Amino acid sequence: MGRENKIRCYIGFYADEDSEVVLQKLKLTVGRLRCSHSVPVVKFAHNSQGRSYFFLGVPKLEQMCPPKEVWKVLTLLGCEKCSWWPMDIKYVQWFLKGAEIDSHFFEDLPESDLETKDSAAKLPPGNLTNAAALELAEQPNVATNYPTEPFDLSDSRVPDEILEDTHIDRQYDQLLFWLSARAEGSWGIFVNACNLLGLIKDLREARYVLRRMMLLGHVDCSPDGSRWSISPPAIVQSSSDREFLCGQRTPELLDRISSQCALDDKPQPGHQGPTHIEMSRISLEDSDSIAISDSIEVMFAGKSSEKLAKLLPDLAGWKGLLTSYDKLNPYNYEFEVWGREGFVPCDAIIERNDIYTGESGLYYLKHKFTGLGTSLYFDHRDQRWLKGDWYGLRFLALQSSGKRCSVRHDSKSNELRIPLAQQWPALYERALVLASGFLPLRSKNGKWLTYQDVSADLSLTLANKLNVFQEE
Amino acid sequence: MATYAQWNKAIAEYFLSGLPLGSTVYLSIDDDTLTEIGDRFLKSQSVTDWVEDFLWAVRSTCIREGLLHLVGATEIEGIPRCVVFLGAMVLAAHRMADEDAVSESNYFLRLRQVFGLNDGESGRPRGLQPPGLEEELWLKWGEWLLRKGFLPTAEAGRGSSRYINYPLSQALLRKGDKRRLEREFRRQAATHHLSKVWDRDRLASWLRFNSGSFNSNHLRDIFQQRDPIRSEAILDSVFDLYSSMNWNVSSSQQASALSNPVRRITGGLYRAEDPIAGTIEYRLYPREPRRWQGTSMRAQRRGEEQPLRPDRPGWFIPIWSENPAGGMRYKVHGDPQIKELVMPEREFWILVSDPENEDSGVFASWGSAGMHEIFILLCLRKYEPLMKRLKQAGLIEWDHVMPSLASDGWIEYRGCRIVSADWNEAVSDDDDLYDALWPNVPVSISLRGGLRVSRQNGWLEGYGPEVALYSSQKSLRLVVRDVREFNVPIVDEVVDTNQHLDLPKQTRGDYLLQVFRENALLSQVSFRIIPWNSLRCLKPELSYGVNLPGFTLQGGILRLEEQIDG
Repeated sequence: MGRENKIRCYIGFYADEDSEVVLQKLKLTVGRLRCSHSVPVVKFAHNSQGRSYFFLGVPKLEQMCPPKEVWKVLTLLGCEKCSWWPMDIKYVQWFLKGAEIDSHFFEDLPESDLETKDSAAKLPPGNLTNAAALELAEQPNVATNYPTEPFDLSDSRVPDEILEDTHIDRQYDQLLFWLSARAEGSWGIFVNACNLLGLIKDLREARYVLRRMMLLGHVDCSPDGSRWSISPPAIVQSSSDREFLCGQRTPELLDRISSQCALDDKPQPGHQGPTHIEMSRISLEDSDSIAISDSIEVMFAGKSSEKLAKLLPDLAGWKGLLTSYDKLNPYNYEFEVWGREGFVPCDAIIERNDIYTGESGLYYLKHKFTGLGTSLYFDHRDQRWLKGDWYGLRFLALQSSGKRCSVRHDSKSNELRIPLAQQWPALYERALVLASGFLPLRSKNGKWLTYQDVSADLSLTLANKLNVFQEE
Repeated sequence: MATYAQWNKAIAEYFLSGLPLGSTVYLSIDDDTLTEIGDRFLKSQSVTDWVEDFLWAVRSTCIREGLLHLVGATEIEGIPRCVVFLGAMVLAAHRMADEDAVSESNYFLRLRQVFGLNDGESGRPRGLQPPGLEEELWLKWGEWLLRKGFLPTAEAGRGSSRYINYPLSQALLRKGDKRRLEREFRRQAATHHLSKVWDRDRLASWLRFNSGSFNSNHLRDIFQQRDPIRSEAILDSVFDLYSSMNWNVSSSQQASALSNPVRRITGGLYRAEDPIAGTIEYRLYPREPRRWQGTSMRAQRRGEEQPLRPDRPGWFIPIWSENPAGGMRYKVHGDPQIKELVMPEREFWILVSDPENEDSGVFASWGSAGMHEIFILLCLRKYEPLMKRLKQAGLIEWDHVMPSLASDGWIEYRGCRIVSADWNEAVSDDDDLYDALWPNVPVSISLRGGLRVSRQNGWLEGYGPEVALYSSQKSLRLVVRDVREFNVPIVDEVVDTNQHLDLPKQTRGDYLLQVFRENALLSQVSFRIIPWNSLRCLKPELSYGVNLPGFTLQGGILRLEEQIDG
């Protein structure tokens, strides 16, 4: 029992194999790795459904994570995904109550029993990962260039604007045509299409393309961004009563519409999206439509921007709609917090008795073992971690830090200028973009975004909802 | 009475409706097929005997003054007008008795009967002289199929059978084969050696191991077929027969049961993983029945109905969660013939990645896994020893094994790959899984990348596919043809296998990609390059939007809650 006195906590995992088989594998693995000092004991039992539970007793954790050797054991057994920690002996006894609990004390194999120096590569037979996974266990996955999180812009650089009139407009139009014919798909398909059409130099720039397509009303996404669908074709009226197209679009659709009215196309600012197509000599009322085929019709949406602005919740209401994580084990992550200079390391987030410490703000969490990262907003008051569009989370962080957010509105030109560093959440920014059908223009010094055709009322309505001060 | 033109259109529609683009087409016309075509496509005509009606249409057009006249190679309503004529030639092949040797004299005896030629002569009719006169019609039919995105199968034979091989190659099951098969299926089912709810793959495996139980050399030869393309077509026909059998009829009613088949839809399995929730779900994935006419069908479970909506050619959108063990039957409403949806009994599933989107992470029972293609094997634990043996024999590899989170007793082999074709070396008692994994297809062709357009089996001009040939052979001959200039291949070279290759940039049109080993055709696929201006708007099956209290925003359209339909 002396060895058991050194145990500080347990790491549990389950397996659907016979418990005796798993135990043999554990003995062999721990023995070959000669890490019985890191995991001296295991307690195990199986339930009435035939599932076996094992609890590895460890003297310590490393920054609240299993020691490296123990993680290697779990990975070699293929049980790393079925594991959880930390827990004490009382929890183990409660968890396994009613079952007969056995214990086994591990021992290292003598060196002479090990056939090669590289014994860690000798895997016990059965349900095990291969040598590639062993390498994985020793080195967490390095994040690759592939943008796994569609909405997370933290590791993406804002792409350069294209100032010359190049063929890239045509390529954006082709993207929209193809999305319209495809109708729906995965984020991966979207990234591939952007890459194939030459719209991005770095795969991570596809996130910006997606964001702009959503702002323009061409595409919608699932809440996690993993799937997209083409938005229905619509004729939207700008604040200055001009009609423009958004949503699904193919050459055939344009031909049908052009038979009823004249079409005028203009490039997006910085050539960063499909061509803006305006219609003239058309007389439509709300809910009117133009039939394209049996199942597709172009609806007249009216002044979507103004309608949207009235219906959107305030900032607190919007925050309440974001996906939240109530339970997050901070010990699995390395944290960085967003500040003036960008993300900086942070060790302020710990969890005790279900309460998270640390201030509200935008954090970047990098998983210690997989290397995958994600940006979340931590709401200290409500004790929740929120996921959403990156600029929106950053906006929340600005507000919670007490920073005064302001905009400038020019009532003569009906232009609204927002500091780039205070870019609004995507949903509110969409209301601004739909006011004209154009993306914002970036100033030459790169510090301001200018939205066209934004009336004073529209601007004020949105600014009030976002606690933003409007300067004239 | 239906006219020649009406039969022409009906036959073409019958063979192509519901067929996924890129599929092979056998113009397999027999009496039962003619009856089905009449019932489904010519039902407006008040006819009681469709076979006689067909013969009348053929004879009234092709027989003049007692002589056979060949129809031209032109088109009616965009369909080659020779379809009926060729169908009559195939009907004659079907009517050859089991004992008939394959010879011109036996064949033309039947052909004369079909055309009603009673001129006292024998052999090739005068209207088809000189030999090979009808070959132009077969080539026209093949070229038209390619233009439509399908693969022709009629081919010339050798020696004296050169020209009669065209219709013979289309006759999959001869007269009497179906009745013999049905009798044997009933007998085996009565002794529980055959299930009534198997899917095609399971039935195929059973046939391969039990072909000796059929009292017919001809049937045994059929099931030992070496040509993989023809073998697949025969299995499709046999499965059509099996899946439409009315198991509830008495022995006295069996004779008429074949003429009143019960049509069923068979389900596959669709596996979807939610990486955020960490869950895996298996869903019933209904296959579109062959020659389905697009009726609105609904499947019923526990009193609730779910519509069957097309997902992609050959498949409906996956419906409810299902236990992979299967064995369930559900009622289907909305179609005059299709009455049941069957989830087949299975002990394993081979789930391949989405052929239209390899990056989706979705796996389903779209087809068998080719050499070196990644798949997931979902199976009962009892197959673990076999899998270990296959791995030790160097035939198969996988990344890891996980207990299925969605179904007790099942495990998933993930990242599986068949890595060797030397399966004769391995010994197995578990015939069914072993048989299913055996790479009996010598090469599988993968087209990926580019800008693919769903449901048109095509890629956009300028953004065509890459190709990979998966095989145990290190290199194979690849031929790519533009259908418009069939005899002048644009690619004809030996290429390395198991890696992706760029194809030369293609202009719009239809292409046929063929793989040969020493002049023997191993496999072929067709694909299309589509011009940008032919793109059509497609409605998403699942639309996303922003759901906020009181309204939904989709693109630029705001819908208040009371405006949204159901």
